[in-house]
Amino acid sequence: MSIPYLIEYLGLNLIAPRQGIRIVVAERRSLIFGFVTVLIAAIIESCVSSTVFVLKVLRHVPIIYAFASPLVPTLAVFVGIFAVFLIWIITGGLVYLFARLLDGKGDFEATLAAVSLLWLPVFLLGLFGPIAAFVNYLAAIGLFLTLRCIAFVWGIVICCIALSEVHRFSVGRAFLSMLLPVIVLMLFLLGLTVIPFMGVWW
Amino acid sequence: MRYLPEVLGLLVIIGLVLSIVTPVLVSLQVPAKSGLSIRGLLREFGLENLMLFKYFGRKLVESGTLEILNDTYVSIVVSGGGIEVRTYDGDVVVYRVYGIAFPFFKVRCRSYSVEYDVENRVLDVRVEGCSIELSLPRYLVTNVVMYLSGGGAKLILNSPTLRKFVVRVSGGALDFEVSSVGSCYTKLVIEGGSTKGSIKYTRYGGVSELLLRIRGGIVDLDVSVPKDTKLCYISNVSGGLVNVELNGVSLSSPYYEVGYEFATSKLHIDAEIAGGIVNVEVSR
Repeated sequence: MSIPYLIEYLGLNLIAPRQGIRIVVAERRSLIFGFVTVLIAAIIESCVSSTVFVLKVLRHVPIIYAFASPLVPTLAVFVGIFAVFLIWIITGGLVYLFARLLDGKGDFEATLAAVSLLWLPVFLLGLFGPIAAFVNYLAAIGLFLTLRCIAFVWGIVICCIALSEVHRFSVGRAFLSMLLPVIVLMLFLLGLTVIPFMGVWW
Repeated sequence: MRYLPEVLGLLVIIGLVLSIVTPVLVSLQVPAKSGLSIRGLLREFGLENLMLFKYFGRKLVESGTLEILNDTYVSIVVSGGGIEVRTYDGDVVVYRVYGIAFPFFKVRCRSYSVEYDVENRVLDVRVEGCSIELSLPRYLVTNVVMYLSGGGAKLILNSPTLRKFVVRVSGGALDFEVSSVGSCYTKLVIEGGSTKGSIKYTRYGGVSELLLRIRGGIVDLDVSVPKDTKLCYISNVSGGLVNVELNGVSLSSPYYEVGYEFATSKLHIDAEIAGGIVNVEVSR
């Protein structure tokens, strides 16, 4: 996998995910491209969020800073990268499950590659991240959240398009296959909250 | 549009690089902490290089103490780098000189001097291209004069014996806090840069003078006076933006507070302003 090819692949998936994912699936490189995409995004997101939420805030708490810096931001980056990978695998698994239930035809690897596109637009965070170094931390948090929201919406759009291509169904079904796990998870959490109190009501 | 995927892909890679640079940039803004720290412990075990965000900032070049006499005149000249001056309850001057350090490069420290002339009782401090931390005995210092033409300076002076405080700023940034001061002659000559400061007077008898000679830059000054101190404000403004307030009310020159003539404690503010942005807030 050459660097120019990777650059083209990343850019292509940002504007034409259907075409991009088709090439990757045809070349049987779904897993490696998914992994590389998530790795890049995880580093960007973890570094910038660690800067905004940990490093900048810690500067205002000198006692903690004196004892914990720079271990805390470093740990935050590694934990962030690990968390993004974990979420990728779990989300990919759930989306694959629901996509199959909705008559999807794609395989698990291709689904993982498609789901990895959810994180691709976080490059926006990296591009504008250095601004966070020069503004106060509330402004930095505001900037971070705004960019993350834009990246999230962008990510949902390209991920849905890629999923519809991978599983050969409509974009609406692709969106549903992403939405259903969230609904099920919320119901599950609601159940966890309600069930312990059912005995009290009865 | 033909090369749009390549351009966007490049932006992703640039974003990746910048995201790694960002925490380093923020780390640079944080001063190193002395004493017990994880960093210090890791350094002890030779593991500091394992840290992702290694602090690139400053490295101690020299430290020492100087014995000084009372009524010492402190002259500070900063033409680059930075200085932080504080008063403390000890009886010797403590100084630490830091150079700018980058990994694998020699520590950079252009020039500095910290000297005490016993005969004339003058402590002379000069800084260029490095940073100095200076701790002054609070009861032995009576005059502090600072010339700042570049870099940054922070003065935190809590000295009841301070009688003269003169600052001349032609560039850079100055932040000062002068407190517990009685009758004192204060003169700020500002020709550029940014100056932010506060002066807190304790109860005193006689006249304290605050002279402002401003020809440029930004000046933000908070002055706190005791209740029985009466204020007089005279200004000659030929340019710039000026706002002088007493307890939140803007003053126009000349202003003599009721009872000023017979007051035993007076603060005389004399401003000559030819440019810049000046905000002085007096409160009691």
